[in-house]
Amino acid sequence: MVEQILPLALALPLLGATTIGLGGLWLPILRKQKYLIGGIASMLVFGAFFLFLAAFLSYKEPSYFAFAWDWIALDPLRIPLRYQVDTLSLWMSLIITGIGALIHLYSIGYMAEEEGSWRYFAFLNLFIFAMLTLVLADSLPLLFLGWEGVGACSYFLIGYWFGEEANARAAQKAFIMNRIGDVGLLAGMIWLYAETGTFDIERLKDYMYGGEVAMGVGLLFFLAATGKSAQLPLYTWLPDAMAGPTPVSALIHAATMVTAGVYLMARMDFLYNLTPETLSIVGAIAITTALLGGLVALAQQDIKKVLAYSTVSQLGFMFAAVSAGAYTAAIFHVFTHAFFKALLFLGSGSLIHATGTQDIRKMGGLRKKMPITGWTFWIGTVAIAGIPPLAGFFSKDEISAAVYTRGTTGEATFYVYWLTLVGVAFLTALYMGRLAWVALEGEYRGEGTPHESPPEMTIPLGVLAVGSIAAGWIGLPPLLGESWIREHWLSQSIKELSVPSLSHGTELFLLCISTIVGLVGLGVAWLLYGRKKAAGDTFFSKHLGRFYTLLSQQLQVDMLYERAFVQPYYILADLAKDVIGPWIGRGIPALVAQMLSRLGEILSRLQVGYTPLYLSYMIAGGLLLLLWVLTG
Amino acid sequence: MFVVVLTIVSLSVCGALALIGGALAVTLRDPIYAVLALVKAMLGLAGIYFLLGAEYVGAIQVIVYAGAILVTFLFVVMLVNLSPEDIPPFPRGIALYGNLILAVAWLLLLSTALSAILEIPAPEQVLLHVEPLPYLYGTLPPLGKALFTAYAFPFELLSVTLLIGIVGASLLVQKRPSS
Amino acid sequence: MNNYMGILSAGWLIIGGALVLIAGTFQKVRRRIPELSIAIGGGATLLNGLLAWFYPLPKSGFFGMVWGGGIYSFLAAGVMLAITVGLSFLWRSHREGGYRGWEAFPLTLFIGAALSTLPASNHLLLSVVALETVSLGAYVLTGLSWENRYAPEAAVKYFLLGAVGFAFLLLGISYLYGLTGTLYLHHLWPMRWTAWHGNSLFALAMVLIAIGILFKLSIFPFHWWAPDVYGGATPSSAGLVVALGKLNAAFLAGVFLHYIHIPSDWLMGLASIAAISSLYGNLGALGQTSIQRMLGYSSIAHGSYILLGLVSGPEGRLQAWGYTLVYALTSTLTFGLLSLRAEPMEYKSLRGLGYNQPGYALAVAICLASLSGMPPLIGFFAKYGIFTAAFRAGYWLPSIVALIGALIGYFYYWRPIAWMYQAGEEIPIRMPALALSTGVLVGLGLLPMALWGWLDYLYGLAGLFLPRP
Repeated sequence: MVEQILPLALALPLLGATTIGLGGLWLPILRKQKYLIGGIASMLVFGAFFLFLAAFLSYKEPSYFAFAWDWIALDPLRIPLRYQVDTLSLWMSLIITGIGALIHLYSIGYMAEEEGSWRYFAFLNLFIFAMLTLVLADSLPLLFLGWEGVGACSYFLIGYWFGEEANARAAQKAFIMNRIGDVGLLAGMIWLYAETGTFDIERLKDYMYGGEVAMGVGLLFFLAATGKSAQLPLYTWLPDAMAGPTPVSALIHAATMVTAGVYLMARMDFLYNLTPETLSIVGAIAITTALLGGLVALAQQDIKKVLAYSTVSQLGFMFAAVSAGAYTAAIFHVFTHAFFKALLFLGSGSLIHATGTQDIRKMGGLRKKMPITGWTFWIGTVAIAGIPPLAGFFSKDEISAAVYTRGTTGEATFYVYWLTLVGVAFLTALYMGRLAWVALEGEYRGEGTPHESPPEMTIPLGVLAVGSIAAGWIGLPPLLGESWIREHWLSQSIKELSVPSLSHGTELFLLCISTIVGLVGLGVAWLLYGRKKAAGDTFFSKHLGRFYTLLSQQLQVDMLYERAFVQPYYILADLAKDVIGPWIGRGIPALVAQMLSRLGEILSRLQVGYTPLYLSYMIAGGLLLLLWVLTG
Repeated sequence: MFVVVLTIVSLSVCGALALIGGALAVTLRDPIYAVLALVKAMLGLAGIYFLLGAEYVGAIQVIVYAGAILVTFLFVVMLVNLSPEDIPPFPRGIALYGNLILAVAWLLLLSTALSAILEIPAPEQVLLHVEPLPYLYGTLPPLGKALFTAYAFPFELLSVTLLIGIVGASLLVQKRPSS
Repeated sequence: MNNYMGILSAGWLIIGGALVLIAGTFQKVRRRIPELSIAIGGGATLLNGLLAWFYPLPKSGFFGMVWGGGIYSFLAAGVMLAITVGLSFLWRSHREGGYRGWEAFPLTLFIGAALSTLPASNHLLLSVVALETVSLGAYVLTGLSWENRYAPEAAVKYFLLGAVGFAFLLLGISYLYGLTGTLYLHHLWPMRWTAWHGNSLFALAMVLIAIGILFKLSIFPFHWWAPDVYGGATPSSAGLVVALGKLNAAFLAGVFLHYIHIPSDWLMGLASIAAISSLYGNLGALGQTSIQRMLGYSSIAHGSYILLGLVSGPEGRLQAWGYTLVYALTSTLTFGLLSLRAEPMEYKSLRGLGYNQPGYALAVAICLASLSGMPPLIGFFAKYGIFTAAFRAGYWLPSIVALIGALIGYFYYWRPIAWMYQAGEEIPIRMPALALSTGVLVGLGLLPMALWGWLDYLYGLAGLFLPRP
């Protein structure tokens, strides 16, 4: 069943990408049919989603499906175009196509006034295909293909409005930052192949790894993950990536692509389980990233920047879960986060669409003018803040419980991580509360009269809001029941680091902490921003002083990188241009080439163009051949 | 024994005829003489066919090649009205070199052939089955039968070869329209 | 005898070509001749593809004269694909009045009929007839151009030298017939060839045949015609002419090397000749300023890779045939594409193409990169197959030398690409090339492995040749 359905599900978005892309290129008439194009693109992704849903309902055991030919076939290396369906990849596929379909639908309304929207939908469909390839790939090179594919689509879509230089620069930045990470993936892949002689993930699992291999490859893969999933030190591209259309930010830079790093590490669980030291390093980086994202988000005035840093911070949560060896918790958070972050992004898109600005200081009072957007945005806010019984509460609680549990096994640093996570959870509630109160409540401070968005935009908001409320219920903590996703679904393909289970008392304590922290965060936000209209920023700048200014300048990391890496790189490039190029790069090869060319000229001098001479050369050659054969 | 010697002598004479005819056809400056030398070469070949028992092929060789085709050649040569002075001579060096190589090649072939006669393994040694010559070998009925059964496809493909020759010739002689 | 699968493709092409020839006599239909011919050629490709798909096991037919289905139809489909691509480039030049009449189209169809028969032949007479039919057509295609003054000269040179080469081949085959008494390949196959080893008449026959085939493959001491002919040939058909020559020679040589068992030191000698030839061709190509002359020299190099594969056992022969198909297709495509842009084809005329016509330039660049053997492209896989087979067969030294030659090849294949991406003046180009470059990308990047796998499968099913019909 699954094997028959899935090639089709994979083919649908690819079909959409090619037909829309080529159709848009060759048939200019088609470009005007925006609803048709958007409709086709959305229908195809919806189709893929329902196919995956059917596969999900009929799922029994891991299976494979391959296309008729090999992608690479060089003995002894054979890489078939083969896809693997297990609970993990199927779950990711459901998230990708489900959220993706809603965002496609939303995009029809959002991009209605764009001229080149065929380009947009073609790339969006292509992205879905590439992302599915990434998660369903059976071998690492195919995964890498998907990995690069989503990177390329992200590049195209960030730079969708390439007319402005800032957007083009943002796209380039994302692309280059990701290349640094990709080196890690590539190097890790090759190392694994050198060690095991195979690229197949299934077969890699059975291999007995030495400690240094597991650690080295694990760290290389984590480097790849920091690039794609915007962790320190490679996270800076994500806030800039907000230059793209908002639905793109929702789909690629919040819900799906940026979680690829988490997926990769969950997929490679067997490597990380071997070396807990690697996981400690992952944890330190994840926690720092989460904290940094939360702090910076607090001081941003651009609604999308706030959400971007929030994403960075939430991704830090996911990696914290990975570092505790709780890969299911990470994937669970990927799942819930996909709902409420997509909801928040789409809601912000709706707000931006209505007001024409991204500055929250020019918004305000929008809940009354745009009730659906306003209320769903509030639902998203409460969900991400971690208030029960909304989705964010359950996944975040599971993460903090997992990190705490690692602490109880004797790794004291994990207590520190846990404490920081609690702090970040508080920060999350605070900055999201700030965003909601400033943008949605009070008086409208912008220009014009904003109206509610069309139904193709509000319907996805509604669906996502339902998801943001209910998505967490499939992963109840042991105290309240049974975590379906953990016990019955993901455990089939993910093997977690084994840790002792917590006592009910501790668990209750952690639950309470999570709830209280979220509520307190929202409460403080209400105090600072809800009660006293937008007085919070002055409060912070007064009490935090220069640190707050630094935060609002995004810690000046970009400038730091500019000084530390870009400038030396320029110097290196100049060196290459002026010294290495002319002397070593051009000189020696030119010498060799010149010698060879001279030889070639001498040879071609034999070629006089006189037919009888050629004939006698030929016969002479034949004679030599005959003599050789007869004598030798 | 006498017949064998006679056949060998006749074969040699015909072969020499063909060889000399061919050599003359290339070296004679006057085109008409060259064509006539080619007739001689063709007749020599026809003689060899007759001696080998392929009477029909020999007859065709005389009628078609020595007769029809070479007469057409003669017509063409006379129509063009080439005089020997129009044809550039071989450059001396090339001619010398070419002749040398040809002579060596010929000697080598001859010696090979002569030495080979002595060392040919008996047919039974290499062949799985030795088929005797068919009844009426070299005459028209078996030839016709072969052409229209087993060899029908190569035969038809040969007609395509000729067609390509005709079409190609008509292509290559076309002149660019003046417009 | 009642199996007609082997002559289906040839029959289709001959009848189609004849109909086109008749149709061309009507003034009204004449304008549509190119489209009609391309359709017939494409139809033949499809027909052979379907035969290969539905009859993976080859069948002997027509009095045991030809094979049909399976790998033979696959090879014929590859041949017809190259020819159809070649036809479509002829079409462009034809429309612009760059060369002689419409008769070239039915002529090319006839060539296709003969060439798709050649690998499937079970009789040396048929092979020879098919070979000469193809060669004759190639001579004509060489001299089509009105504008290029070298074209007729090249055609005559090709014709004269080709006739001599063919004479050697025929002489050799007649000796073979004299020695064995049969020309049926399935009779030759079970023969006890080792009894002939050391016999000088056998050696003579083999040398004569080798001269004929090495000439057609343009291998070192017999290659002299290649730079002049390919360099002077009509630009829009040059790629096709090269392809025809190589396919011709590779098919026939494969047949000989499979059915006739020759001493292993002779094979080693052939491999060494291939290595020298690779060096010679690649070095010669390096010194050229005209793309077309570069093509001429590089064809010597490609011939040497094919030869290296052919002598490396059954696996090598399969790889060599695959390589030849790939080379035929890519060279037709590359030089057809280049001829759209530049006549005469000088490197300089490519300057700035990458900026004026990015799609077109990309297509050309991909083709050239594939010819040079860049890894993700089909050319790499083809070369890889040949060289691994040669290494496995034990031809270490020749393979390494030939590889060095192939490395030199990178230099001259990438030079046009470098020219294309240098700034130059704006020159409008005559075709919407994006479609083409997309096709080229997909075709040369992804699909070939599928086709390769298919070839491998058919080969495994039938062996390259079955011993008995």
